[in-house]
Amino acid sequence: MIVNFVCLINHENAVGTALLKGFSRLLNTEVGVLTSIPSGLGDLTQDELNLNLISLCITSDNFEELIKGKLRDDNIFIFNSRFINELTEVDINYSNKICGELNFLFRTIQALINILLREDKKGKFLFITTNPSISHLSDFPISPIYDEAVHSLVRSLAKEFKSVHLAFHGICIEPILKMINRNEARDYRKKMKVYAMQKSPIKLDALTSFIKNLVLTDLRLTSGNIFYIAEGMDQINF
Amino acid sequence: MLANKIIVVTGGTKGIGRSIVLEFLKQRAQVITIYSQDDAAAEKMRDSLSEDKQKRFFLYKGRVEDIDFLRSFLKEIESKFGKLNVLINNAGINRDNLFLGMKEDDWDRVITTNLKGTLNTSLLASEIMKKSAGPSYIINISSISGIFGRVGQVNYACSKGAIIGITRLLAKKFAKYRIFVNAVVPGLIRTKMTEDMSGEKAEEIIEATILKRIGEPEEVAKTVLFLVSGDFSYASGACIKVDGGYLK
Repeated sequence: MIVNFVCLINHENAVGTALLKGFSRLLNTEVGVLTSIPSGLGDLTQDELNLNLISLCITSDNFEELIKGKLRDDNIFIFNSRFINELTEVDINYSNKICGELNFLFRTIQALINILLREDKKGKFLFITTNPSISHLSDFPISPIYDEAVHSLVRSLAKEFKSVHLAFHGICIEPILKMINRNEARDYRKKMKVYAMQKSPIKLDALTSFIKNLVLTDLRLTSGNIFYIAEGMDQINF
Repeated sequence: MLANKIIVVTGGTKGIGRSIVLEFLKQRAQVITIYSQDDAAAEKMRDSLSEDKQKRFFLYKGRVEDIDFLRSFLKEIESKFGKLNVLINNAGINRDNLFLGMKEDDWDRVITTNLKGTLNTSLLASEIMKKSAGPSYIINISSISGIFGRVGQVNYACSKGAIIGITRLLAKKFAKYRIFVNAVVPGLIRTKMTEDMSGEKAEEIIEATILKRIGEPEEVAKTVLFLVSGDFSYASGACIKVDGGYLK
């Protein structure tokens, strides 16, 4: 499958940077970054990543024009994990943060779908989340409230847009080696011994390469699924 | 079993919440209910109770998303009753629409009431519960929309999914204080919300259940009662579906 336009929403963490690097190596693919604030590109230097980055800001007046000009026949929108740090005891402001993040998702997805449908383009939406079922076994930053909300969002949108060329998926990841320190990684391995697969933290390169391959596959038949990037069966069964 | 226990039920004057309140009153508990706007429904409910039950039934008007109201409400509960044994986070709203027609205000209202209301009420209530010697319980009312997703309910599904996340997170956070946090996940239950639903849509959901019928609010209430009875003692962070065996 040839993908012409990949847009990463919220790149500001190790996973985002690694994904940008990974996609930059795809031929004939333009890579965009969509942020919630105009200066969202931060210290991401285009030279360093060797990318032709396009910065798209949802709050820009000309957002629709910007994104319309970039759309191709097949478009991928990857919503990076937010890694909102877990709630620490009683923090009343925590809910405001989650609500703010979900509002950004709503506005962004609604705007993108509107444009895709008007322009008659295909779109695949991937949402990276963290696995809440084992998250408490490491200090890997997680946000189960946000992540469970996103899983429900994916399933609802997949049902609502199944008749048009839009697909929605969740990618649920587990602790990444590069994002936890050596002691945490050792503790995590020890705790994971109870699992049949005796898991270890995932290597970032392996994860991004897996996501890249997933992105390049025609996933429409599986729209609404949450892919657990995990060895063994640790996904939640209700 | 629950006699003289102090129980707070949010959104307790209608539908599932009302049935939960009635079930706890039957168990001789002291039940405090928060309702947001319908004074007539609240008064009607009070009037329908026997004199004995009226003495154990307390009504407070306010919104669960209003942090100032929550603070003063829980402060009053603590000073009046000295403890809080059970919190049922039932208050919730829906503003259904197809995703592309959904207004930002409808998105925000549903997320704010259902997610923020549940989380903040739990956090503030836990401050009282932590002081208790015995076990305390928080039961969050989610929905099968939060698990399976639903057309025309993206905001509601998203908020109810978040409630499952809240349940798991708080179960882990509060275990050391012997606060058990579980969720009940109802399917199609006979309430005002489902009365407003088209017959065709309701039939479609009923057809997708194993039991081939709509659920009654009392069936959800009895599940809630079981979860706080002390008999469901080896579980926290659990999501119990009361959905007639929904298959979608």
